[in-house]
Amino acid sequence: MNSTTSSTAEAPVKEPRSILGEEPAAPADTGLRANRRGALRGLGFGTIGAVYVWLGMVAVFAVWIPDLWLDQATVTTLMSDYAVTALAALSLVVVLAARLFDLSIGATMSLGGVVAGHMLATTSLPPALCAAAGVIVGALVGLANALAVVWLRLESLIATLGTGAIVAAMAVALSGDKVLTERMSGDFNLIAIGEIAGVNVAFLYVIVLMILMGLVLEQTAGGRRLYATGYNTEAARLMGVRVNRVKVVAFMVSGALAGFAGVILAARLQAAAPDAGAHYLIPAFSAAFLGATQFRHGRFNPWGAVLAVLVIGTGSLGLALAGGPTWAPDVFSGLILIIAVAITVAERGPRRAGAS
Amino acid sequence: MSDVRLQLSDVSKTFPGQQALSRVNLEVRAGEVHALVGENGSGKSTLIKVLSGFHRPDPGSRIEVDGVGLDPGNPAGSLAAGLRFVHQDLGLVDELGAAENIGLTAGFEGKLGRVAWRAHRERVRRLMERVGIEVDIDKQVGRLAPVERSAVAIARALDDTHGVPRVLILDEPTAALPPAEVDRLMQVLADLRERGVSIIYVSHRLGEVLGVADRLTVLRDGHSLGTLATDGMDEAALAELIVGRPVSEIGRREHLHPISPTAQPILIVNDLATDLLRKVDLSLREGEVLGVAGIAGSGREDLAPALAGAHPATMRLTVAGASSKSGMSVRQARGCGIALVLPNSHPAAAVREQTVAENIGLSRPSAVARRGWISRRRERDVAREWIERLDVAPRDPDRDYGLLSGGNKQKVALARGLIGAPKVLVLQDPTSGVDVGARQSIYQLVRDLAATGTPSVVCSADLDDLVGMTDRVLVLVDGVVVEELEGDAVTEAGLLAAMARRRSVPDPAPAQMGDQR
Repeated sequence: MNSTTSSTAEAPVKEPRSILGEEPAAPADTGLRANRRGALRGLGFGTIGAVYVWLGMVAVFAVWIPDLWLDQATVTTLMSDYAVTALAALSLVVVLAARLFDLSIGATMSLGGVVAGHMLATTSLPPALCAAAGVIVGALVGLANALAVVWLRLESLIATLGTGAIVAAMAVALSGDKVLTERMSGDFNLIAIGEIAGVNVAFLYVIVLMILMGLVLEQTAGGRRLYATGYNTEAARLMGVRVNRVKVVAFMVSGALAGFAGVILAARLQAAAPDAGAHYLIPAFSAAFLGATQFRHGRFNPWGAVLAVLVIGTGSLGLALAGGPTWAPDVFSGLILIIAVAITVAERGPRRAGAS
Repeated sequence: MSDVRLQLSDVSKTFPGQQALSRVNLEVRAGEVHALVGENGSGKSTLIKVLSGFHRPDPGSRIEVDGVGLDPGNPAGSLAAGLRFVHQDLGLVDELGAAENIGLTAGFEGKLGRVAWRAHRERVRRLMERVGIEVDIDKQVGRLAPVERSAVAIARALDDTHGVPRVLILDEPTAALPPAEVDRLMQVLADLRERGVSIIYVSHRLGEVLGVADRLTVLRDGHSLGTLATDGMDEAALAELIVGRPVSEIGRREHLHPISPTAQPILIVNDLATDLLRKVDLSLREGEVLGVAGIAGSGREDLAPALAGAHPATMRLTVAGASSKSGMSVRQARGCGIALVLPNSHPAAAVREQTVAENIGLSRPSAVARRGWISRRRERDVAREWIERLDVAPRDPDRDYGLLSGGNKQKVALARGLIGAPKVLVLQDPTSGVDVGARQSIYQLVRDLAATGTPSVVCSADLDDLVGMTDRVLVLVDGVVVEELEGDAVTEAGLLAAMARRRSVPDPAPAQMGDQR
């Protein structure tokens, strides 16, 4: 099991671009040497440092709490528990790539789960349709965010803080401030805990979405436009990119993914709580920012985000199993967020000075 | 009147690989307006920065204020010696009022950290009175008229908290002023001079220089060419002095080739209007490179983005026979075949964080994608072709754009414009931050493009650009084309004279000058 997770995390490293693109300025004639150094750097701490941190943590916990740690159940818990965090982090990658903040994703997750739970309770529609409704509502929240940012021209941080509060209130109102549990066992539950070929489906969703998102962001014109809009909106606009459309799509995809994460969370717990998503906001941001320091130095990317969730999940779970206090995981993900952003800032600093 | 206030002797400043100032001498008397003139890159800015203490001059340089040597390279020392600066951008916080702005540098009146607003405002009011323009000192500076903002900046410079102001140095003070307000500013300067303040006046507007200054010093290539009285000097003579060659020798333009009289117009623009431009007409023929000249604020800086739909504008536009109404978007302009190339120093010229290949690909995804999926190899190959063609160094499509030198950035920016096979190329300041060698190759490239079917409009603040690559130049003053120079008439002196004209006061002399050539 360990081998599965680590190989997926390392897969994008084979991408030669990510290595070459980050070579510091070197005269053209030393190109060959630069390439060789680049290949080494691809496996270096600067590019996939989180992999080494993760391996280190696995080793520490294996020594510290061998009985609890080296257990099939630990791996299963890690994959299924943190699949929701990973989905939330992926949803953030989309908007952050366009340099937009979405503080509403926690509330959107809650609402997605509550909508699905509400439809299960009040209608006889099949569970898959109820789940889809949760996703669609998420996309609509994204649309509302986009309208506030594009049309009303608010800062995304402020706009999504506002929409987040409203969406959280909607989740409470729709659920009647109760935890919805009706019709949640059975088929709906399977959406999150089912297995295909012995692998948890929630984990598979993460892997499939990660790969798909990676392809779209790196290999399509749409992905290029998304990154260009994030890096330099005006330059993108002058190149004929419809930046407003890019922002609308980014918010809607992000909202839909957050809704999906909320549905999976509700399905796994067999309960939709009106504040269930709120706990995922900080870990998701931590993962997205830590992920941006991996593979593509400063570029928000799905592989990095998933790897970062693995790091955060391993640390949090290990601390919990080792008998740490209940607040330890929160401290851990808060620290990760600060450290990740500090790394990004430190990496950008000299480059900006050198180029200007 | 003749006692010396500021004396610069043998002031030199060497940057790595460049002698920006060499043994400059300058003498400013008490109560005179002394103009400092010269082309871009002649050393004016460096000299001002040496005076302000931003640059430390080379050893052997000597600067004295009222006979006392100045500690070089020390901003506090310059301030204490009484040197006061009003920079072109004024350096005011738009959201604050004059009282607060002046307080930020001069300090606030008050005790124990509490501002005594009544006393502070009284002091600011006295300062504004010295300047002689009445301003609401509590109104946000950003909402004041341009000349009122200048007045606030001058008042701030005249504050004596940090010592008595002795020399006021104004850098292009009229660049952002409409003509009517220029006269008010000139009145302010005249009043200050009456009260014994010495003024160094830096400007490109030769008419103003001759009008306001008592004497002037010409800088060329870092050398001071001497100080002259402005009495009896005319603009043509001054322009010749600045450029450094007799008018007849300026502007040998070997590149010129006659444009066929039957050449069809590719681009026709009528009634182009923006905040700065007023109903400008222009047309660009096959094989032609059209230049647009003008000082800052003349509308020259609006023209290129306006043509490409990147700046709000109204116009009637015809490209290769197809006309469109007014108010285009960037996408529509690109659809018409107009490609905008911004100066590489412009923040929106390209995406610094993306690679050369990604930047080139972004401007035409269809060239690098198949069925919607970008092919990395294809993207690199296309980028390599352009790198080859435009001679970009290093030849590495995976290099981050932000890491390239100015000239190479400019070439990548050109590639971004050219990859869409435009019918017309619109360039703005194509050589800003570009070294001499790359500059020549950009000139050659633009010429070649024109000859092979892609004519250009070049809007540039750098007269070398216009002399170096254009066939014809429109000169803008206050948003209107005041003169059109063609062929051998495109010279630095001719351009300088035309750019310095004042639209509000029609002046027959420069027009005659243009006719003679």
